[in-house]
Amino acid sequence: MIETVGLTRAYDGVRAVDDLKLEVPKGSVYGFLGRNGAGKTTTVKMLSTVLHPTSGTATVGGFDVQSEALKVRSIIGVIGEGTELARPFWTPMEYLRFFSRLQGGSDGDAKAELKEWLGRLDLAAHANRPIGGFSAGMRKRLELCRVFSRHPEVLLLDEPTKELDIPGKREIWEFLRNLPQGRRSRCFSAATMRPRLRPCATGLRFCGRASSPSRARRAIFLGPCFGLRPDRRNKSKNT
Amino acid sequence: MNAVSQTAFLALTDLRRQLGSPHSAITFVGSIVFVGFLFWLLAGFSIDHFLNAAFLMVPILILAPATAAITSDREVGYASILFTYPVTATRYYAAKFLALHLLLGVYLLLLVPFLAIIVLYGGVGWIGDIGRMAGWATLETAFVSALGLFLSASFGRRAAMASAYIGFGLALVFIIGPWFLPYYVMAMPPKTASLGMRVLHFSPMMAALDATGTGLLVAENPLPAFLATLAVVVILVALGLLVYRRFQSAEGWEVGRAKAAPVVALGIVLLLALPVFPGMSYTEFPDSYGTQSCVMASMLQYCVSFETPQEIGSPPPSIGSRIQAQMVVSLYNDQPVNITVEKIVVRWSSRFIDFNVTRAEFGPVAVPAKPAPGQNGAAFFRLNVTAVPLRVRALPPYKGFPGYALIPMELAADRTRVLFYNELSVSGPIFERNIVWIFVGLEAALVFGRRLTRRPRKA
Repeated sequence: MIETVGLTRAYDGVRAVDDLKLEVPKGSVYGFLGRNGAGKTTTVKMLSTVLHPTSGTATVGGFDVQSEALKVRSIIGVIGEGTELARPFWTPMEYLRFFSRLQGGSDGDAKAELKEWLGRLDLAAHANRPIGGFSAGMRKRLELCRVFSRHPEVLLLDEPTKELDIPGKREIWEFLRNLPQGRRSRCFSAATMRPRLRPCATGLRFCGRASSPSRARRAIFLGPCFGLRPDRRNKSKNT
Repeated sequence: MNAVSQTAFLALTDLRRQLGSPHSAITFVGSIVFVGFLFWLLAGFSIDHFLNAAFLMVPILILAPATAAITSDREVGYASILFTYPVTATRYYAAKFLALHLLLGVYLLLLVPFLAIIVLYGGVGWIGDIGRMAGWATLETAFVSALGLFLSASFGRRAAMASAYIGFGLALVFIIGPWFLPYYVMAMPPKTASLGMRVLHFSPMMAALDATGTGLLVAENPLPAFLATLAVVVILVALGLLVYRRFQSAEGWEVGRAKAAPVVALGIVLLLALPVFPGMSYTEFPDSYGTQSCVMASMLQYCVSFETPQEIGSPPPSIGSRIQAQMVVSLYNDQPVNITVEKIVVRWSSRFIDFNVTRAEFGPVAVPAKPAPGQNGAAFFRLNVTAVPLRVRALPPYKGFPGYALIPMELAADRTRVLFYNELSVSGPIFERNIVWIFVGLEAALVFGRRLTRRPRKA
């Protein structure tokens, strides 16, 4: 589903991502772990077409992120770093309907589903309030509503619990873990992970260059990816 | 979603965002109050001047902060969400360009009550001029928006707001400048003055003043000014599209400054070179109009007037009434010899009055020598004309304060060409100008009310 070959991104000569080779199969969960500055966000940005690679290639769903950016954008759902809500006077429903229509969905069909998503993320009671007054946790949940209501084939979540307090982080990770897996692939990045989350089987990318001692020091996690596979979790419970 | 519908959708979204923001509410209310004051002040003096200010100056108060806010999308993260959806940079910026025009549309809707008063009291003949002014305002909006967006392309993301204001600083020079600068420019040496006047035609405002004939100087042919300003807008839009389409930086919606710099430089060179082409010639706008104008030329004094068969004490003709008037040409000779003029041609036309005849020719004309010291020899020519006043140039604010309809006239006698600015008294309903404050209050309440109902509160 996601493939990169020699993916490199340099900022003013400093390589944030260097020669990244990656293969993420369809339906899998993949994590990028690493300290600040390790290149997680840069990788997610390149995969979500908002940042052009300096060299190398990347395909998402078989589409090249540079030459077929619009096609890539039509199959991905992204929560990026610093994507503040830029429409503080809209209600959650207006916000979600805007992005739903941008995706090409009809207004009538989307409305019921968006309401359902707001309900699932405990925002139904705030559906008619301007989002400018929302707390950080509510905003993050709204962003998740936005992303999931797209039905993306590939989910790219860049530090989805950043800036949240501990209960807020737990809430979001629990929600992500309880999502049905389906056929979509998910990539997420994080500097830290909740230890209570179970390991997943699919993959982990350790960000930072092992060849560079300074960068190696930035990476703090080695080992299995902490996963988002409710089916695995249920299976282990059953057994 | 295809390209057109997506662009329109994004533009409408930007418009809604602008209308919902606090600074927008404040600038709109401020503009309404300013327009109300201008109307109160100017409508009793000159409707043309009110229209110029309302259509060409006040929109800047709204467009300047709006462009800055729209450009600053790049700072607040909206763009970084948007560009994970199937949106191209061209559609994104085209939508912003369009949104600013839609914002102008909303402002024009707020002008409707004032314009309705003008049509109601000043005559339906104003409808055409109002439509034309809306056209000029659109061209000016295109100029200002393109300049702001184009310049902001050449600065970094953090300087988006600043660059928009730089663009608007330049725009303001070219919008407000034509009101005052011609006096100074025309006082310069002829070659410098000529170039200076052409440079001022960067501005749609100058072209609009030329076309409506209400500026300090009257262009004898307003077409070159229109073409110049249209060319400026087309160049800005074309270069802006080129920059935003072709010179993207690593981040997909940003312009690569290094790549865009040569295009921006080319644009500046083109804009500087453009004023070399259009040729303009001007005559000075008269300080005042009168019911009879006289000019001394080629040893004769030429006087031209329109006379109506009006009895003393009776009100002047009203709008829409058919009147029989006389166009009178008087020639006075204070020389001791007879003077013969081969041919005299008088032309007149007015957007305020419908005439059945707009040209008269006399000649050859022999003007007798002065019969005695202190006296003049004279010759008179009269032509019956049917006239229907269509509108007045100002709304009479007091009783006994008639409205006036302007009649610019041109007289050509042999090699002499003289322009006259005459006017005809026309009566109309008295306009109680304080009524505008009711409209101002209602519109301000509408804008603030809408804003207050949408105010975000902490959940």
